[in-house]
Formats: sequence, C-alpha cells, structure tokens
Amino acid sequence: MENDQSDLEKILSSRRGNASDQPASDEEMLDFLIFEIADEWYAFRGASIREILPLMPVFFVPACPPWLEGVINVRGDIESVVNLSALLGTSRSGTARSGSILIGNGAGIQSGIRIDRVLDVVAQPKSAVREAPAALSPALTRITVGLLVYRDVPVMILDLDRIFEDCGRILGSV
Amino acid sequence: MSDATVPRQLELVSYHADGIQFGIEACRVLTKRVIVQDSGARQSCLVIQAEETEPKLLAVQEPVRLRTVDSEHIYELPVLIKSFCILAGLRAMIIDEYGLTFVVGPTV
Repeated sequence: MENDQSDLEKILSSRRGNASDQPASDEEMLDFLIFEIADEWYAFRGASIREILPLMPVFFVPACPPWLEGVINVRGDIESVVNLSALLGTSRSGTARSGSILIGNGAGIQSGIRIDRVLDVVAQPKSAVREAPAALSPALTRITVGLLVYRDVPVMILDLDRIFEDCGRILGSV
Repeated sequence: MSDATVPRQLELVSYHADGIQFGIEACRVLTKRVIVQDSGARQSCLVIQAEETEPKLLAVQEPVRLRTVDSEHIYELPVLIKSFCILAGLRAMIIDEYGLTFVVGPTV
C-alpha cells in the first residue's frame, strides 16, 4: 500500500515535471465555451453561459428585427433568442434544423443565443488570452475582448455584456 | 413565468393572421361576421370596439375561437423583444394546447 502510494507520487511528480505547457498551479484559470458560427470559431466566458440547449422550436415573434429570432419555452420560462450570426453580419452556415441555443446573461439581460455548434468547454490560463486583433469587422470590434488559440485555430472571445448592451441600445432607440 | 399583474383568467377571442395566432380580449369583440367579397370569397371579420371609439372591422383567418386562459399560461414578453412587441400592439403571450398566441390590446 505504501509502495503504491510512493509510485503514485512518482508518477504525478513526473507528470508535473513533463507538462511544460501546463500553467503554474497558482495561475488563474478561465472557463470558456467555444462554439462555431459560419465556420468561424468564437468563445464566451463560461461564467456568462447558464445552459446549453439543443435546438428546439423557436416561435416567430412579429415586428422584431432579423437578429431577434423569436422565443423559446425553457421548462416554462420564456426566453428570447438572439441570432448571433445575424448580429455579427456573417452568412449563416447552419440550417434551421441544426444548431444549439445558449442561455446567457449579460448587462442584466438573459436571453437565448443561437449558434451553429458547441465545440468545447475548456479551462485556459489567463495568460493564454491574447489581445484581440486590430483588424476586425466593425460588428466584431466592439464585442471582441480577446483571442484564444484552440486546436491551432484562432478563437475570438466575445463579451456577452457588450452584445446585450448593444441590443439594449437598439431597443432604447425603438 | 406568469406576471403577477396579469389577470387570473383571461377570456379572449383568438384568430390567425399571416400564419400567426393572436388573441384579443373578448370584452372588446362585439361580434363575428363573414363578409362575401365581390370575388365571391368569404372573409371572416371581428367587429371590435376599444373604449370610446367607433366599432371597426378586423379581417381575420379561421379558426376563430372563444377561449378562457388561466394565468399560468400567460407570459410576460422577454425584455429583448418587449419594445418591438409593444410597438406592434402585442402585450403578452400565451402558450397552451393551442400553441403560441400573442395577446393584442392595451389592458393586459
């Protein structure tokens, strides 16, 4: 038993030593939900996402702009659904029958967010977050707060507070 | 969930327009008429009257139903869509065995 314990310590110690890409144990880790829209990869901070839902019937609501897709019934709670692709001005790659809906919170607003596909939920060290690139589309410039590299692919980190703030600003001008 | 400000029960006349189901408070509906147009087509209409205004015809699509809805099926509009809906005269939504119904009118 004592030997087993000792072997385990050795293995763990060896792993700690070999894992040069691992962050220092005291480095702050951030959770990210990585997702895809129109073949581009984006991320939200994990703390801003409450739930990931499979695509469900979205009820069309008259008089709303194209980026407000409608409403969904989540176990008796009615949530609006923002079509992030329309908000970003990207051409949608998904179909009406595919995708996921994230329930997110930002700027005091809770809403569903339609995306094409959830790719992963990961914890990354704070130091892995790079500055957002300077050359971004106008729609992305304000809402992008950083960049991650995930599976060698650049992932824009989007700020849900700013997205919902912008939605609120549009609502205020209605 | 249901808003505390909505009535415990709502009696409404539901109808369809442009493929969407709407409901108007029954107290505002005087009657339903079917008008035969010059082409021979029959058009259902509700005769509605708001407070202190003249009655007017509202062209609707069938089915037209008189429904009593419990407050547990009446939902507030989510904050993001509220402004747009209020501009369009929509005040609340109902989700029940008839699907989604938008409540039209100032008093709900």
